[in-house]
Amino acid sequence: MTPQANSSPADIALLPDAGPLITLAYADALDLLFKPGWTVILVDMVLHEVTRQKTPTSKKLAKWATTKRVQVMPTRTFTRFKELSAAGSTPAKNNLGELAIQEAMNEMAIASPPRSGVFLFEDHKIARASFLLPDNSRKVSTRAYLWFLQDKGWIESATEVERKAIAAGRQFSQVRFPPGA
Amino acid sequence: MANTVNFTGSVDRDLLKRAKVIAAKTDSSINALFNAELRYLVETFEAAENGGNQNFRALLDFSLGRKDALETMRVLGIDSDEDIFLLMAQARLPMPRLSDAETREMVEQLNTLPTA
Repeated sequence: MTPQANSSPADIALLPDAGPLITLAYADALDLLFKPGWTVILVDMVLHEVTRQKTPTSKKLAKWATTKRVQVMPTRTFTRFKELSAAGSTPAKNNLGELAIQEAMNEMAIASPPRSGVFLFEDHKIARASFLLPDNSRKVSTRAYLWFLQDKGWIESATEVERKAIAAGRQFSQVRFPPGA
Repeated sequence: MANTVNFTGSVDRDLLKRAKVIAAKTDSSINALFNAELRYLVETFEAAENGGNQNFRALLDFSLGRKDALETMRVLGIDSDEDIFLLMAQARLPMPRLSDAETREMVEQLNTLPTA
């Protein structure tokens, strides 16, 4: 579904998955999410995923979400996760963020009127094609988003943002490679 | 005399352009850079394999798009996107990426949306 001609940028919701948040955090570029003027929304489970452990970016992401007053979308997935955790159960965590995002997509599709959403993922998650994408939603990679910003003249170089993230990642990961060694 | 052979391959246009800049800056050549990186990859892979460590293999499979993130995380015993990002960065392997054509198509979708 094409957004209504008279819709404003704020009517578009931009929902980043954990991967793009982490990449942009390493590149010190989280504010790029605000450039198009869309409403940035964090799915609760995703926010939990990127802040639950002490990592090089967890504090930065939590602080950014708070200081920028980013909207957080509640999901049944996260509620259930919390219930199970409180009951002493250890639910598998690997794909709960994705499940919560799928839930958010569905919620937006059946809202009245349906809301247009841009869901931001890393390339490998888009390639997996496990999402059932409602008509009013778009699934976009971090790289595509950065190209878009570059085309608009909002950033000088998409490649530079990616490069900065990787360079910062290498700096932080030296004590952690290889796993299990 | 070095035992070298010629071969034909293809490479991302932008990547080659950036590699040429590095070659010029370091007074080197694309050929030398390619050999150094390929040697790094082969030696890292072989060293890991000889040590009975399959982690580099798992990361390489992920980089090449042969294994998805969930399977890779399971093999590596990690459970967060950040860990896999850091391990890929440290292993000097690129994250798997979609083709430029697919990426451009997504950009075009974004261009249909109103912006500030």
